[in-house]
Amino acid sequence: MGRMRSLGGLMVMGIASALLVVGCGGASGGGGDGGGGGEAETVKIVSDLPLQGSNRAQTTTMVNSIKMAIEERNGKAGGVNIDYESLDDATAQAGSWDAAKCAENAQSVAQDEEVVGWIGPFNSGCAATQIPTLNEAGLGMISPANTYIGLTKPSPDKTEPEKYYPTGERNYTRVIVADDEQGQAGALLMQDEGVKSVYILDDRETYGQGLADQVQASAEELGIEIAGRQGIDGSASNYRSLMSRIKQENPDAIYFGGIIENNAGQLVKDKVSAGMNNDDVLFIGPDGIFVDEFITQAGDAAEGAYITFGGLPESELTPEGKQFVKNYEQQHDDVVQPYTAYAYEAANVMLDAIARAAKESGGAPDREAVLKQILATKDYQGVLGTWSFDDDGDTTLTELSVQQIENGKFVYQRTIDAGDM
Amino acid sequence: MEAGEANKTRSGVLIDSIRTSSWQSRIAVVLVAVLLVLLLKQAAQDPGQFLSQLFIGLTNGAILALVALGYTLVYGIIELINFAHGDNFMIGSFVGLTVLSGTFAGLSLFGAITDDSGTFLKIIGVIITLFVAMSVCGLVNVGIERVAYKPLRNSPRLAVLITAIGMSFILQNVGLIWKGPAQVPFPQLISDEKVFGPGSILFRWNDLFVVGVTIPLLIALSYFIQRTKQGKAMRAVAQDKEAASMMGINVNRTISITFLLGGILAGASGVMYGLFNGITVFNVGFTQGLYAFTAAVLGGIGNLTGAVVGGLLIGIIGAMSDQYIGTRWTAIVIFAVLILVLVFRPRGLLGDRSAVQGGGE
Amino acid sequence: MAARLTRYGLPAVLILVAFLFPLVEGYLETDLMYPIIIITIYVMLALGLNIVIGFAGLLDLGFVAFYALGAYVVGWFASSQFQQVTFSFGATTASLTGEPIPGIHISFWLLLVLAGAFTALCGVIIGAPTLRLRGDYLAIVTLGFGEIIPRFFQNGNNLAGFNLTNGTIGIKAIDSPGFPFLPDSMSALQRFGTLDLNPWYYTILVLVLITIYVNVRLRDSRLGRAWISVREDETAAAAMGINPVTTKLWAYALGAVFGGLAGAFYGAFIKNIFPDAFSFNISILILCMVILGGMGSIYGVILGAVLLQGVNFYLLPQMNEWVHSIGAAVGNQALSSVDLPRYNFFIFGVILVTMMLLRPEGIIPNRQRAEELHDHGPGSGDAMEGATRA
Repeated sequence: MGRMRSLGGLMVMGIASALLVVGCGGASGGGGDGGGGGEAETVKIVSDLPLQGSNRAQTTTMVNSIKMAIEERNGKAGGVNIDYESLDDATAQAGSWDAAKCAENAQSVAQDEEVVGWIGPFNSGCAATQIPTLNEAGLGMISPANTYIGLTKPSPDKTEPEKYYPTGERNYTRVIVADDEQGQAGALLMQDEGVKSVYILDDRETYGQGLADQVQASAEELGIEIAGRQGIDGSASNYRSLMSRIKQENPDAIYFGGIIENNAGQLVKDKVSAGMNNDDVLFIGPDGIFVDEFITQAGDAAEGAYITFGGLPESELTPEGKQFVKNYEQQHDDVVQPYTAYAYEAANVMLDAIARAAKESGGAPDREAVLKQILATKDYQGVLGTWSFDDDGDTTLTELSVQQIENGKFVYQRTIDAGDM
Repeated sequence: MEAGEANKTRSGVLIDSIRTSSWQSRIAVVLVAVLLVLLLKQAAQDPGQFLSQLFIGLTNGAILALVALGYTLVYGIIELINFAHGDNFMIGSFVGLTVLSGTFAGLSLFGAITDDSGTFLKIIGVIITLFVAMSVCGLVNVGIERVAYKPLRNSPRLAVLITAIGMSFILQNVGLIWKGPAQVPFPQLISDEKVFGPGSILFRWNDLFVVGVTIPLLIALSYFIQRTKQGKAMRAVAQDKEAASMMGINVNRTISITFLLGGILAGASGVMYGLFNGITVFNVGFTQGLYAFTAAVLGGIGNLTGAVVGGLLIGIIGAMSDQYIGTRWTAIVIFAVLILVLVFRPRGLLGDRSAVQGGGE
Repeated sequence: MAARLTRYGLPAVLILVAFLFPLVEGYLETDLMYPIIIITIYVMLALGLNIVIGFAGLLDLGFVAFYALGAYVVGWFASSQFQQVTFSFGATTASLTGEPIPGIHISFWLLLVLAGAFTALCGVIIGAPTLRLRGDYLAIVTLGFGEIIPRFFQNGNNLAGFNLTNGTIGIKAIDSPGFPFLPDSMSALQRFGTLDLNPWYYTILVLVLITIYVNVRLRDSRLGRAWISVREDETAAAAMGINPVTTKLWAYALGAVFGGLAGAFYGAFIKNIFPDAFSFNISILILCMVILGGMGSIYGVILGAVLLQGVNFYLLPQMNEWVHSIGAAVGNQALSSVDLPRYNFFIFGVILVTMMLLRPEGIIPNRQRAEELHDHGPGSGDAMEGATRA
C-alpha cells in the first residue's frame, strides 16, 4: 500500500512537472518570435527526398540543383543567411520511400523553429503523410514532384484535400502539373493513337492509384473502353500470369500508374514476352517511370513504350531553362534528370519568398511570413516558364509532354496541353 | 482380418471411413471439392488459358520448390528456420549476374556473355554460371553455419533464430552494396520463344530451362540422401544426434554438409530465377524466401517431397488467383490456404517426418 | 534489505528518472524526445509479445497484426474515414466552419479501451485455429495472419464497394488525443499538438507503466504459473487440471491487448496509418527485442527494446556524423566521407549476431528459464528450449 501511495505521489509530481514544462515551452516560444535582431541572422530550409532506391540518381541531382540555387545567391536571401539540410525519406530496408520515415522527418522538422521552408517531398504518398503535421507547424512546402490530385484539389475522396489541412489554412504548393491533367494527357494520347480499349494497372500507392483513377475517368469520358483494372504487387517475382490474363481481354493498350521501384521493368518485360509487343498493344506509363533506370531494367522490352510527364523535358524548356541545364552540367559530373529543373525552380521560389518576407519583417522572417510569400508567388519567371500559384497552390502551367522510348533513349514526341480538354 | 470384413463392398469401406473421420477432415474434403469443381468449370470454359496458367504456375513453383528444399533440409536436421537462406538465394542470383558480366571487382576476366553471344557460348556460360553460383552459395551457407549457428548449438533454440535473422540482414546489405538498391537486369540468354503447344498455350524455352534444371537436381538430391553413406549419416543425425555420434558419425561434419547442400540449391535457384525472370534485386531473397518457406511448411517442414509439392502448389495457386480472383488478392489467398491447410492438417500436407528419413508419415 | 532495495528501489528510481526526463530534455534541448517516444512504443510492444513468447512459450511471428489492428481502431473512429456518418464524442477536433465534421470522432481515451478490447478479441480469433498446432507450425500460422492483415488493409478500399481502410493510401489526419473539457488556460492539454511532445511522452509513459505492472502481476499469478506449466509440458499440465486451451488463449488475448494499445497510440501520434507501416519486419524486430533481452524477463525485454530501437533510431543515424568527425580529426579521407547509412543493415545484423553469441540466453535472462536450461545440462540434445515445443 505504501508503494502505491508513493507511486501516486510520483505521478502527481510528474504531471505537475509536465504542466510546468508545457507552460515554459509556450512562453519561450512566444518570446523567440519577437526578439530576432541578432547580427548574423540565419534561417534554415530543408528538402525531403528519397535518397536511396531506384530514384537515387534523380534525387541526387535534385539536391545538387537546390544547393546550386542557394550558391548562386551566395547563400543569402534578402540579407538573411540560408542554411540548408537535405533529409532522406527512404530507408535501405524498403529500397524506396518509407512512410514512417516521412512522418518522422516531418515531426522533427516541425520541432525545429529555425526551419522556415520545406522543399519536397518526392512521392505523393509521403506528402499525404507530411502535410497535416507541417500544416499544424505552419511550415510552407513546395514540392517539385508530387502529382497526386487530392493533395490540393477535390478528388473522388470527398474529404480531400481539406483533411490534409487541419488548421484550415493552406501551406502546400507544387511546381509540377497535377495528375488530373496528366491523366487527361494519358487519355488524349490514347485517343490520338487510336486506342479503343485499355487495361489499367496501378502499383497501389497514393500516386499510382490516384493517377490510374484519373486516367480511367478521362478515358471513359473520351469513349475508350476500360478492359480491366488491377493493382499489382511491386515485389512479385514476375507478372506472367497477370499478363496472360490481360491478353485474354485483348486490349489495345496497357496503362501502368506507378513508380519504377514497384517493378515496372519486370512488368513491361512480361507484357512483351506474353506476346503483346509495344506496337500492337501500347504500353503507357507516367512520370513515375520516367528515369533511365526503366530502360536499363526492361531492355529491349521498353522499346516503343510511351511515357507522359507532368512537365517538359529539358530540350523543351525555356531559354532560362536551357541555360540552367548548361550551368548544371558544367558544375556537376552527372546529367540533368527530368525533375532536376523542378527542384531548382522550387528552391528559387522558396528563396525569393524568403527574401520578400525578410524585407517585409526587416530581419530573419518566421514561418508565417515565408508561407504568405510562397502562396503569393505570381507571374514567376523561372526555368519552367512564366507561371503563378493558383488558389489551390497548383501551378498555372498546363503543358505536359509525351516521350517514346526509341533505341534505348527517351525521345520527346509531342506536347499535350491538358488545358484544352 | 476376418472373413466378413473382406466381403464388404467397396462402398461399405468408403462409408466406414467417412463415419470414422473427424469433422475437420470432412469440412476439408468438402472445401477442396468445391474449389476443384469451381476451378474445373472455369477450365472447361477456356482450356487453353487454364493450361497456360498451369504451366506458368508450375515453372514459378519449381523455382520456389528449390528454395523451399533448402529451408526444409536445414530444418530437418537442426530444427532451425534458416532466415538467411532466402538471402543466400539472392546472393546466388547476384553471383550469376557477375559471372555473366565477366567482370569482378573491377577486373575484366573475360568478355561479357550477353543476348548477342552465340548459342554455344550461351550454353557454356549458363553451365559455368550455375556451377560458380552453386559453389559460392554452398560455401557461404557453410560459413554462416560455422560462424553464427554452431557456437549456439547448445543454447536456447530461439537464440539461433535471432542470429539467423542477423545473418539475413548482413547478406541483404552485402547485396545492396554490391548491386545497388534498384532492380538489376539479367541478360536474356534463353529465348522466350514458344517451344510447343497449340494455340494460346504458352510453353517457352525459358520454362523448359527451369524444368530441365530442377528435375535433375531433385533426382541427384534424392539419390544422395537415399543411397550414399553421407546421406544415411544425415538421416541418422536428423533422427538422434547423440545416438548418431555414438555410432561414429561426425555430427558437425554432417550438419555442415547439409548446409552445403542447402546453399547449392539456393545458388542454382538464384541463377535460374535471374535468367527466368530477367530481373533481380537485393531484397528478392526476403520476398521469395517468405513464399518458399511457406511452401516448405505447406508440404510439411522437414519433408523433401513436401517442399516440392508445396512449392508447385503455391506457384499454381498464385497463377490461378491471378487469373480467376484478381492479382491484388493473390498474396492473401496463398497465406489463407496455408492457414487452412495447417488447421486441417497440423503437420502439413505430407506430414513432417524429417525429410532425410525418407519423408511421408 | 539489499534484496528489498533492488526489488522496490530500482523501479522507483527508474520511474522517477522517466518522469523527470522531459525537464532535463527541455533544458538541454537534445532533440531526443521523438526517438524516445518511438522507443517507448516498442517497449510496450515487446512487453506484449513477452507475454505470448516469454510466459506462455508460443512463438508468434505475426505480432504486428495486433499493432496494426490497434492503430486502425483509432484510424476508424477518430478521423473522417467514414464520411457517411457524422458522430462526435469527446473529440478534440472542432470543425472550422462550425458545422459538424463528417466521420466518427471519439475521444482517444475511450478508443484506447476499445482498441484493447478489439485486439483481445482478434487475439482469440487468431489464436483459436493454432491451438491444435505445435512447435513451429504455430509460428507459421501467426506469420500467415501477420501477412494477411496488412494486405487486407491494403485491399480494403473496395470491399464490395465499401471503403473500409482507404487502401494503401491509408487513413490520414487522425485526431489528436486531449482533454477538451479543460479550461482554455491549459490549451496544450486540450489537444496534444505536434510541436510540444511532452503530453505525448507522459501518455505513453503511463501506458508503459501499466503494461509493466500487468506483466509483473501476471508473472506471479495463477495464470502465470499455468503458462509456465503448459510451456514446459502440456500433457502433464493438462493432467494436473490446467486447461491448456483457455490458458493459451489468455496469453494470445493479453499479449494482443498491449500490441493494440501501442498501435492505438502510434496511430494517434503519427496521425497517419497505412498498411506498409505494419510489415513483417516489425514482427521480426519485436521478436528480436524479446529474445535478445531475455525471454520472460521483464527488465530484459525492456532493455532489449530500448537497445535495439535505440540502435535503429539513434545510434545508426548519429554514427555517420561521429565517423565523419573522427575521420576529419585524424585526417583520413575515406573515413570522413564514408556513407554509413548504406551499411545500416550490416551493422544491425552484426550487432544481433554478436550479442546473441555472447549471451545466448538473453542479456538479462529469466532466472527460472536459465535454471531450467542448466538442469538439462549442455549437450543433452534437449537444449532446444521449450518455447517452440510447447
